[in-house]
Amino acid sequence: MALLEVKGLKKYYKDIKAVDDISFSVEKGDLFGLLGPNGAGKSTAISLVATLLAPLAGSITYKGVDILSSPAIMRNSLGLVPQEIALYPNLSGWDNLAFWGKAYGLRGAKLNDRIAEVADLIGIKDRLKDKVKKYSGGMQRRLNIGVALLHKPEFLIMDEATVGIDPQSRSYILETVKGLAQNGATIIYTSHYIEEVEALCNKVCIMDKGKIIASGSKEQLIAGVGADYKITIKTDGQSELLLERLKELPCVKAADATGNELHLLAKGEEASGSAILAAIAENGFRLISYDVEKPNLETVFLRLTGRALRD
Amino acid sequence: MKVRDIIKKDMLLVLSNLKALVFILLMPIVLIVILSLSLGAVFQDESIKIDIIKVGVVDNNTSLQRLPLQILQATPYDLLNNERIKEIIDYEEVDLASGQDRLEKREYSTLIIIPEGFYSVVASNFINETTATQIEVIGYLNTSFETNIVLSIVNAYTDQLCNIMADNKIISNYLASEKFASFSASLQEELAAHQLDLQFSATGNRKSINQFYYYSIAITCMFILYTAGQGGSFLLEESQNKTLDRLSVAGVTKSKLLLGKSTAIFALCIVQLAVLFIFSTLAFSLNWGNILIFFAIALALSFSVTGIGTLLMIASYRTGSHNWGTMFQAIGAQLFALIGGSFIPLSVLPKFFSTAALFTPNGLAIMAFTDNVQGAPFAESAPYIVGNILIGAVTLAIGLLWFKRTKGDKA
Repeated sequence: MALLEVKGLKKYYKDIKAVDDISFSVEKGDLFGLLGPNGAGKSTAISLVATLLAPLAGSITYKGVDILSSPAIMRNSLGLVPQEIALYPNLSGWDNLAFWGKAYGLRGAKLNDRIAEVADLIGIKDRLKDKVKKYSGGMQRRLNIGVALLHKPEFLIMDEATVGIDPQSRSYILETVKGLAQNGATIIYTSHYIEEVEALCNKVCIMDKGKIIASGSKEQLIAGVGADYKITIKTDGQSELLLERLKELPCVKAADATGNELHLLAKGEEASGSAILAAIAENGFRLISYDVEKPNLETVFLRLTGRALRD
Repeated sequence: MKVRDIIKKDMLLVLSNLKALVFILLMPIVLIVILSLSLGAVFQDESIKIDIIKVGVVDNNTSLQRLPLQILQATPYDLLNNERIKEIIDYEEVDLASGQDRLEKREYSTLIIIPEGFYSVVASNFINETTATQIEVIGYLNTSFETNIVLSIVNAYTDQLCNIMADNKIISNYLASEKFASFSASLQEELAAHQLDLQFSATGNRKSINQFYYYSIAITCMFILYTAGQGGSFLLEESQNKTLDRLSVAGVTKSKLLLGKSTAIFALCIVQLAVLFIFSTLAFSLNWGNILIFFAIALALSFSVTGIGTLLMIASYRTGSHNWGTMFQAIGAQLFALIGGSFIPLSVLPKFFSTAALFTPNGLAIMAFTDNVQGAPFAESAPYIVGNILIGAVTLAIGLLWFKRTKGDKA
């Protein structure tokens, strides 16, 4: 049984179909990526899962229990990291953590211990006494995550957790998320940054215009759309014979040449690589460079929608 | 989460906001000092124009008993019927019970009681006897000038009589004259030998208040209204900052949140009242009267402001606009301040304001606080306290009804 099961979920705002009949499931321990451009319906979808909105139609079960009729089952297990910095900027980091810890029922020594642990985890323990409004954007984002971790939730929803921060803070946050997943947390991670979802998630759901247009592991998604590897080879010479020889290889779908550069579209990286290198050597040329551009989720999105993810 | 955690957090937020602190604490302190020092004349200036003063006269003497002074044209009525006096005082003779009843209903600002035998005692004092008698004046000092003016006039009357008694030599001259004459200041030393007293009895043994008392109360009661406006944005801010969603996920119900926030407004009112009254007490050495009544008034005022603040908070949340609190601070509080007597004492404003003030939290509280300072019993402050509790209850009820109306799309 999946930890979270979403079936036929719909949420409309007048004429706008924010979420239009989506279904997906999340297993315990999954780091589940919800990928899509701005306005795709990701935030609405997770608001529905977080019991903040009531759906027009569909069902959501958590641990087999319908959360629409029993939202407490979800709320008791959930840590929510909203896209906005949902903190009190005029209070100190410690006051914020203490307040939210109490909101989750923590008190006394247990609360103080968790504040110390979380502050250490998100790297703000030296700044706990400062007001949050004096924190950098990255620190505020980290505290925004820390607040959701205070009660050690089994299930974490992170909505665009790295929007608008510096690369260093982003890297810190991604490492934190990886660490949480390694410790057994189940996470739904929404983002419009492909590289984040690719780096973190074992399962990905791609949303566009309120619908799920593809889901599965990254490899499954790429394989599903039949995306090719782009290989660029530079040799110390060039011949029509070499080009013809490469075109004849079963792994090569297309080949073209510009000066000493060969441009190939191949099916797989490893299988095609050795065959291509062998063909170059057989024709007596010396390899200068060999670049492979892997297909990614951007390619998948492009194939499925005809436009780039960040258009 | 406990309600006290929400209260603590909201209070911390306001108290850590320098702008809010300046507005609800520093500004009133500055205004109390400025107004007390600059508008003291309002409490002393006799040139202030006032309405005709309604006065009841309880005369415990028959027409026959009044005769000795009537012949001398030296009765209090001779004074009260003076054309200039009639411009400001409208008196009528009443019995004691009726007079007290009408004084209670504020139909009279003052009651003059002439004791039995007053006329014969005064007449005998003209012939060297030194028998004591007294005229009693009963009034409301907090309704200000009116009672003080009557008191001054009666005082002048008794002074004149004392002067006459002090110098028998001029009685004959006096008898010959039709009007009161002016007398030599040299006679003053003899006045002490004569015992015609004027006793002023403020209703409930009241004492007078000065501008320091008045403006400490009035400005405090005005600025507490701004706390309602301040609290008016509490819930909408949570919603806009998305902390409301987070609290919702944490299992904090909106009802509990509202209770916490309303209580936070109440607690802020108490803090504000405490700071401002402690400041006034220390700065001007003021005594606030019966401490239990004082607390009752303060709690009722805080409850009233909490009701208004809660209504503003719900209105802001439901409409998604901060304008409710802002407009209340910019217009509502100013209007209440004017009507309720926070800027200018009600006694120097047209009568309409005295009635309208009964519908304002600050007006009710000012009347109750001043009554208490003047030593009035609880029964006199009670209607004002009840008035503020009613304002609080009605505004809370309206707010809660609005809050209960579900939006339909929230889980």
